[in-house]
Parts: sequence; structure tokens; C-alpha cells
Amino acid sequence: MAFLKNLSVSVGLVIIVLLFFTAIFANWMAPHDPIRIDLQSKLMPPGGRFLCGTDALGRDILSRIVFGSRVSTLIALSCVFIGALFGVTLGIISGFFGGRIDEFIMRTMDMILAFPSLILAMAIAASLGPGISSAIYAVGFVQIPMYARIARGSTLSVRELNFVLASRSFGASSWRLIFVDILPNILSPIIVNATLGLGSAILTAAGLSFLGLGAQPPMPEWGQMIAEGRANIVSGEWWVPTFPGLAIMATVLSFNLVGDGLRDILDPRLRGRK
Amino acid sequence: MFRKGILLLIGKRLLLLVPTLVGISILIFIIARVIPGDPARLVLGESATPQSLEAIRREMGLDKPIWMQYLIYTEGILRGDLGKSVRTNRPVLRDLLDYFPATLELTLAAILLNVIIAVPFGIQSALRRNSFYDHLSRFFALSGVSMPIFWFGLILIYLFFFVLKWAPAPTGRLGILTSPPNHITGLFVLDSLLTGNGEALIDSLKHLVLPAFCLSTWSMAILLRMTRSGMLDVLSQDYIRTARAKGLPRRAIIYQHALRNALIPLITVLGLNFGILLNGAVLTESIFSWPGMGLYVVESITWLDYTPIQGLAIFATIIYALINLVVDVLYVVIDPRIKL
Amino acid sequence: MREKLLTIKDLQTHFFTESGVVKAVDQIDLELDQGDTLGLVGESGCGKSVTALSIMRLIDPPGKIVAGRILFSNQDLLLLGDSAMEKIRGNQISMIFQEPMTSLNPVFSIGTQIAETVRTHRCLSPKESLDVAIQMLDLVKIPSPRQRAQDYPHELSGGMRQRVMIAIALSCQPSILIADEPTTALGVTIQAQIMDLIEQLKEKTGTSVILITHDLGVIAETAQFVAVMYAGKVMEYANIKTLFGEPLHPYTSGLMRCIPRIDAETDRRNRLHIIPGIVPNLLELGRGCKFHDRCERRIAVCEQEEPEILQVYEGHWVRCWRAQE
Repeated sequence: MAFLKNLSVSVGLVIIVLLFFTAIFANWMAPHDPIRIDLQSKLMPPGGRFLCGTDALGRDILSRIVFGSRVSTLIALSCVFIGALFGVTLGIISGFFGGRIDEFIMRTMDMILAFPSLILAMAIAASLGPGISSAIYAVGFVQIPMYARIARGSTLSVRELNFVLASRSFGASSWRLIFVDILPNILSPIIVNATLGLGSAILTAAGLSFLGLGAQPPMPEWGQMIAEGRANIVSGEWWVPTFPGLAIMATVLSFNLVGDGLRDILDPRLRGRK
Repeated sequence: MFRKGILLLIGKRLLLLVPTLVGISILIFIIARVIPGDPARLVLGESATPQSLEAIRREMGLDKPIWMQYLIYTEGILRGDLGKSVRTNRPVLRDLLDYFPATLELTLAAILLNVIIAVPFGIQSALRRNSFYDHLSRFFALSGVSMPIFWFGLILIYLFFFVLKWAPAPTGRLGILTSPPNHITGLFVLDSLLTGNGEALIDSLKHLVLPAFCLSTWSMAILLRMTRSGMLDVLSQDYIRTARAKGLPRRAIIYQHALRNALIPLITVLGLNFGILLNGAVLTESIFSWPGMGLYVVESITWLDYTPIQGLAIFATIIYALINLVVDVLYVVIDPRIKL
Repeated sequence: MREKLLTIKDLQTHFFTESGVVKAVDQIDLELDQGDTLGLVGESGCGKSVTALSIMRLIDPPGKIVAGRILFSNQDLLLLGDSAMEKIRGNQISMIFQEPMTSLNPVFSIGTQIAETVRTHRCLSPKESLDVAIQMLDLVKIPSPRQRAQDYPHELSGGMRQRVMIAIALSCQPSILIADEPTTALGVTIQAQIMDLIEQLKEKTGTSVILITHDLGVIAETAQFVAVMYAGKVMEYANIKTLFGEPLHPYTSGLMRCIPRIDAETDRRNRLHIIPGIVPNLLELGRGCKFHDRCERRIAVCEQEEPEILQVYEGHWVRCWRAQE
């Protein structure tokens, strides 16, 4: 059992490392130019020069996937950054100060959570004007309540622990308490959820791009590529949307595996510490 | 079954809904009016003439102070005015209501699939904890939650329509040659049953299978996981030990004693899953050309008409909130421990 | 000659954990006569509950009954198939547990939970089994039984819930009732009420009882025979008079001295007696007598070799090298 767990987490880690590696070194790893149009090689099946085939404009799909990893990595990290930055801050403030501030912040979070996440993200992205940055703001915003809740919950429990009370009795300022005492101790669940959030961000952003509200052509974003390849599937050129989708699935799966694994590792230790 | 005070509970919950609705309207207002650089342009599109923009601005009251705009806006929503679609030239609300039954049918089918498939698999997983079966179903659950369902829909279409030729072409709820059953509820399967229209029944079912299955993926994975952990939790309880000591047959212990308790928290999960289903519906309808609210909005986007999205956001959220209210009440009704 | 209702021979129940094998029950022999109450006494972890669960065949992995015979009604319970055992549980041998607060299913009424047992083992209609349930509630002295039958467990106090457990256990008139620390989780007054109730019902229904407890006082009032357990083994076995009058095992006498007595002589220090040390870690048992490290009467051989349990007097068995002195 433990072995299987370790195996799946390892597989996930390997894929993530591969992802980051590909994202950074895309220029060297892609066999062809991802945006060069070459109508002569259009819709060629996988094999030979084009390992994943080409799309309707003759672009090599593998190269587009490789560069797409850069796009997806940026999207994922930015979304989680925005979500966690605002969410954790709000959550800590909420949990630490309590009272009316807590009420207000949590009610606001509830409001955001009242919306189905994709639909809200769609509305935001549409308002900001379709584009990849809009998608990032939209998805980041939609993730804020999750981090806020977790941060608030952890803050509430850590706040009452002895060492925090000790610090307070020494007259430590609120800021000091937050940064030195509370924040390091609530990191575990935040890290777990951030990992899972990376996967979720990629999925939601891909959805937005698929619908036309996120990455715009010719940017090689995986969701976008699936949208482009939609028509091709019924005419038999299955490879156009399939490979980008597999890329998404492998990436999100690996984040989920690692996130789950982290949860198993970090949680019992946390309980032990308390 | 109907305990005293149920009506009071429903009343209280409905009352609590009001601040939520206010909050929703504020948020959408901010998104629709405050964020965009020029809300007028957003409504009319890029190709609008300066005159029409001016006219819209006055109509939308964009020259008035923000708080007044909000009041006008909210008053509009209460009247049922969710804006007008530039593409169809009709009020958004009317469009949404027209397309709503299709989405409802799809979503209900997905929920049905969820319950029929995820719950039994979850139970079996819990009973055979850590066996190969268990690991396999957990793997499927994990995969289900990790894949983009719009992509999965395409794969399904390719496999079952293109390759295997089992499924009909993804042209919507019915084949081109079949006419829809007489309208009673708007749910084709139900209507065909009620009017005894065999041809429509079979055709609509055939067209429903693939999209419903596609839509159910995300929520199914979650329900599977929750059922499994819920059952595991319940099976370790003392009252299960008592049931065994009573000499009850294994079936009775699992399906009456254990399941009945495990199902209670699952109701809440079903409610939360509805939001996921709404998300998925937008994507699934797009892939399968299913004429629901999602497709309506998606096509509007293609035409650079962004008003329907805001309308959908309000409409979908209100439905989601109502569903969760029903779930909350149901939870209280079913669990005898909760005092009304 | 009264019939032997239950005979346990050489029972061994082991738990195969990641840290090693725990011999929770290590070769015990017990007997229960018709109409008697057999007391199983010992500290936490001595194996008394596991013995009870073994009789009921409710041992789950990583536990396993590895050896022994449990003879009941002309059959060896350990050889029965699952469905045969299901017919015995709740029907001929019943068990009640220590935690009444959590032992009842919260979503079914108490009437239903009693009736269910009856319906499973007897061919009665739902109405008939509910009637039996109401009779049982009356038998365990729950007032207004017809109305209370529709109550849910959370509406009852701990004492009442334990009564319901007893009602469930006795509803099919079993030959044996196993009571595993039935009053430990209850207040002292309720304790007395419940024990009285069990006694009365025993007379009324002719059920024999195996009473598991760590409380010698309770044993003294109700049992006819007592087995004292320690670290998975029976240390002493005798009838109640002999055990209290002349305990032969140092552990037994130690336990008895630990009972605070109002009439004890006051001395300057006024301390309660204790048995020094703690119960052994079942993963790290030594070679000799399991009790030797806490025993005030140990001699050299106690550390080397484990004594067998021997019948020192008629019906009085002791597992100690120094028993016959």
C-alpha cells in the first residue's frame, strides 16, 4: 500500500519535473516552429517528422504542445500566486482578528463560492476582454476563497496554541505574530491545496481558452488547441485535439497525485506536532 | 417523515438566501459594469457606432453615480431583466428559459448516472479496501477528475460515433429527421414517455447517452471518492459491531445499517456537485451541440456578445443556491439527530 | 450434574500487526455452566474482550483466531461457516458492549433495532416483532415502552441505551449473554441498576452470563465462577467464594488489596495499595511468567520458565510456581 502510494507520487513528481523542464527549455526541445504556418504539411498523421501529426495550418502539434507547456506552467503558477496571495492574506486576517472583519471577509468568500467556478471565471474573463491575462485574473480570482478558508481554519487552530499565546504575552506585535508564529505553521495545508490548485487552474484555464475567452490564437495553449482541433475529429484527424488533451490530463493528474501524496505526508506530522 | 417545523426551516433558509442574492448581484454588477473599461462597448460589441454607444450609455445609466447604477441594475434583475442579447435580439432571460429544459435534462441524466455508478462502486471499494479493485476504481476517479471534459467528449464522439458507429452524430438532442415530442416539461425523454411517443423516446435517449456520460465524469469521480470514504468511516463505527453481534446477515448490515448512515453526508456532496455539473454543462453542450443554456452562451461568445454570460452567471447561481437550499433541508429531514 | 454450556479449549487469538505478532489470547481454557455467571477479570489489554469477540467470531483482520476449540451446543463454533455463525449470534449467544452511547444505529428507532433481531432469527411479521420489541422494552424497565419504541437513540440517556442493548441481546432468549464491561461507561448509580437488571433477567429467562469487567466489586456481587486474566492468559480460576476467601495467585491477591475499603485500618501514611509496574507490552514478552516483573513473590524460576495452569484444589486452578506452598 505504502509502496503504491510512493510509486504514484513519484510518477507525479517525474511528470511535473518534466513539465517544468520542457517549459523552460522549450526552444531547444521543440523539433519545429510552433507557429509557422505550412499549408503543404497540413493534417498529416503522427509519424515521421511530425511525431504527433500536424494541424489544419500545417503546424507541428508536438512542438505546439512543448511550447504549450510553457504557457500552461505560467498560467498555473500565476493563478495560484494570485489566489494564494489574496486568499491566504484574507484568511489569516480573518482568522487572526476575528469578529466583524472575519464575518465580512467570510461572507464575501461565500458570495464568490456561490457561483459555479467556471461560469464566474467566464463572466470575469469576458468583462476584461478575452485573452490570456484575463483568464489568469479570472481563474486566480475564483481560487481565492479556497485559500482563504484553509488559511482561516488553520489560523484559528494555531492561534490558540501555547507558543503563540506565549509570544503574545511577551507583547509581540500582530505582524510579528502573523509572520513568525502563525504563517510557518499553516503552510502545510496551503501547500497541499496549492499543488491541487495548480492542476485545477490548468483545467479551468484550458476550459476558458477552449471557449474562446482565454488564450487566443496563435498562442499554443492546450485548451485552445483542442478547440482548433474540434472539427477535425469528426473528419477522422483524431490526433489534432487528442494529444493536447493528453498533455492536460497527464499534467493535472501529476499535480493531483503529488498533492494527495503531500497531504498524506504532511497531515499526520502536523497532527503529531499538535 | 415530515417532522414538525419543516416549513419554518424552509422559511428560515429562504430568508438566508436573500443576503446571498444581494451579494451575488453586487459581484456581478462589479464584473459587468465596474471592471470593463467601457461597459457600453462590451454590450454592443466592437463594431458599434458612436451614436449607438451613446444611446446605450444613456439607457444603461452609465452617466449616473455608481450606487445609483447599482440600484437600477438590481431593480432590473428583480424585474427579470438580465439584459438583451445582441445576437438574438431578445431578452437574455427569455433565451435562457427557452434553453433551460435541455440543460436540465442533461444535468438530471448526469446526476442519475452519478448515483447509479458512483455509489455502488464506492461501496464496493470500501468493502474491498486496498484490494486491486479498490486501487483501480480510485485510479479511475483520479483520472476522471484530472481530465478536461470537453476533450473527453471529443474522444467519446470519436470512439463511439466515428469508429464504432454506435452513437448518433452529435447534432443535439434528436436526429435531424425526428421531430420533438409534444411539449409538456421540455424534457424530451419525459415528454416522449408521457405522450407515448416511442420514436422520440428512443431517439432522444440515444442522443442523451454520450453527453450525459461525458458531463457526469467530474462529479462522478468526486462522488465515488466520498462514498468510499463515507462507507469506510461508517463501517468502523460501534453500531456496525452491534449489528454483527445481532447476527444480521451481511447484506442487511451493509445496505441498511451502513449505507443509510453513509448516505447522509453524500446529500451535501450531491448539492455541491451541482455547481460542477453546471460548469461541465457549458463545456459539454458546446462539444455535443446540445441546445442548452451553455451552448447559447458559448455561441454568444463566438459572436462577441458578452451579455448572456452575465445573465447566465446570475441565473445559474440562483439555481445553484436553490439546489443547495433543498439539499440543506433534505439533510435535516433525513438525519434524525438534527433538531429542527 | 449441570451441563457445561460453553467450553473453551486452548483458544489462541493473535493480531498480526506491522510491529509484530500480538498474542492477545494465548492458550486459555474456560467453562460456563448452565445458569451461572462467569466473571472474566483483568486490567485493560489482558485479553478479556478479545476472548469475548473470539467466542462471537467477531475478530477482524489483522486479528485471527489461530487455534483452539469453542464447544457450544455440540458443535465447535470455530469450525462453523459464516452463515451458520450468523444464526447463532444474537440468537443463541448475544453480546452487549461497553459504549452504549455509540452502539446503537442513530438513524433507526430503538423499537426497530430490537424488532430487527427478532425478525432475523424468528419468522415473525413486522407487527409481531414490534410487539416483542415493546415487551422487551418493558422487561428492561423502560417506562411507556410503546411510545419509547419510536424514539431514536440520541433521545435516550446512556443508562437507557444500555437497557436497550440488553433488550436487543435478550430478545431471542439466548442461552448465553456476554456482557463486555457493560457499566464501565456509566455513572455509579446507573451501574448498580444495570447490574441488578442483568441479574433479574438472568433469573427470569434462564440465560447464563459471561461478565467481563475490571471491577472486582461487581464480580463479587454477581458471579459464581471467576477467571483472572493477565497478558492473554488465565492466571487463576475458581468459584467466587474460594477466590475471594483464599486467592492463590499473587496478581489476584494484589488486585484485591487494591480495592479501597472503608473499614481498613488507618495508618500514618494512609496510602492505597498498588501493584507496582505496568502491564507488559504484548509485543515484547519474555520467556518466564508474564507477571513476574511485578510480582512480590517471585523467585528465580519465574523469570526463566512460564508455569502451567494447575488444579491446585478441586475446581481451583492457578498458574504460579508458588501456588502449592
